Amino acid sequence: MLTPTPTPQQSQLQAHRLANHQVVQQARQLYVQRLKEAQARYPSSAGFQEHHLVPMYLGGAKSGATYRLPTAYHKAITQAFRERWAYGQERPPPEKLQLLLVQVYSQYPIPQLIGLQP
Amino acid sequence: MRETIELRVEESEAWRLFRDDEGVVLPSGTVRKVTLPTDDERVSRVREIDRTLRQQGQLFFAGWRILRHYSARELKSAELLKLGMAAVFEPSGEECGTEYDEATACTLCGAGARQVTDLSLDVRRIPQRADLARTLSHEWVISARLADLWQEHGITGADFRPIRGAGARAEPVKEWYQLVVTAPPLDILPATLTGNDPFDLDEDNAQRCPKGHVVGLNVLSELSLRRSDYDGSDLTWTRQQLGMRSGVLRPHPLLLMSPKLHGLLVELKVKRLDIEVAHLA
Ligand SMILES: [Zn+2]
Repeated sequence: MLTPTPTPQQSQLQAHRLANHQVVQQARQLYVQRLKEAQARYPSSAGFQEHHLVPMYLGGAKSGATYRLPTAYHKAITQAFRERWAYGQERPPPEKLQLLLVQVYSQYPIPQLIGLQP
Repeated sequence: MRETIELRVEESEAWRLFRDDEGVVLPSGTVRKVTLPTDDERVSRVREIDRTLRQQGQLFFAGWRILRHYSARELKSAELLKLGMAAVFEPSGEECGTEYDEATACTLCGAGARQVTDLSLDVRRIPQRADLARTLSHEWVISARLADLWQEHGITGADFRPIRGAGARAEPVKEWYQLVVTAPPLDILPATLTGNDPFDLDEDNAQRCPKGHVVGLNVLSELSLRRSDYDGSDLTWTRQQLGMRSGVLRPHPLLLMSPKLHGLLVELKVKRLDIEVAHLA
């Protein structure tokens, strides 16, 4: 049987899926690498901690989304935030907060959001 | 007064404005802390680069801080000074059971929720070497040691309220008090520059209350205050507030102090304060 030729829309969708798949794969690799680095940097940080997706010092709600992360990884994320935005500084305006979140999570992916067990 | 600005620049973008050896790369290796005099010609370039990168959904710098360095003489001749607390901790009072009446708060900016119970805190979380500290929500605390000395020296405009540990039946603690201001507040005058950051003055007033309670996210210049509002108290505060209601964060007034109180804090070597000259006009 002949393989049917995909319509331009189908091709586009397929290309989009492939790109998404690649992004997720890259993020998974990055997570594994960052976790390893964090565990080397904080060797005595066993266990897990809850992480607020929008940290409370940046104005995130206490009842906001949290993710259970390996303690060392949580410490590395906290450092990535606080180096960029000092603890106790007035919170950023909404647009800057968005950019800050994208910046930190593109370097430190949340495992649950890319289909990984922490 | 010498003024500098500290920026937290993305290391991957720092080349756009800075030499490799400028500033300090922070431990993660991805952020560079750079301090420039505010009259450095590159400060205006920060604005351009920041705008360009933002349009591409990227950050040039995130955090910033303006530092004002005064001579002893400038500090001594000030009529009033801003008293900022750099020792910040959490959980805040609200998280430890302190109740606020949100019905008294402005529905637009969230300022003015009245505290209706004693302040409850996990006092183990208060920075132990500080005598003055604040929660993330700007609840001010003072060590009992310092409160006693303020009373001994006749410091006016302040009152000390009990702090309870977290938990329903917690007793007042001995080591700390909540610091409250009893003096009438001072108007912040329009000469005071406010905004989101030194490069973003919030021109569409997104962070200002139309009713005038909150005048912006941050004060960007020295404070200019209405002289006729000042009753001479050693501790006082601004009528208008800064910041934003967001999670546990609340809009808050700024604390002000007399040269007498400033002198006492210097003499007692009280640490972790952020002090600036304020102007009466
Ligand atoms: Zn308001």
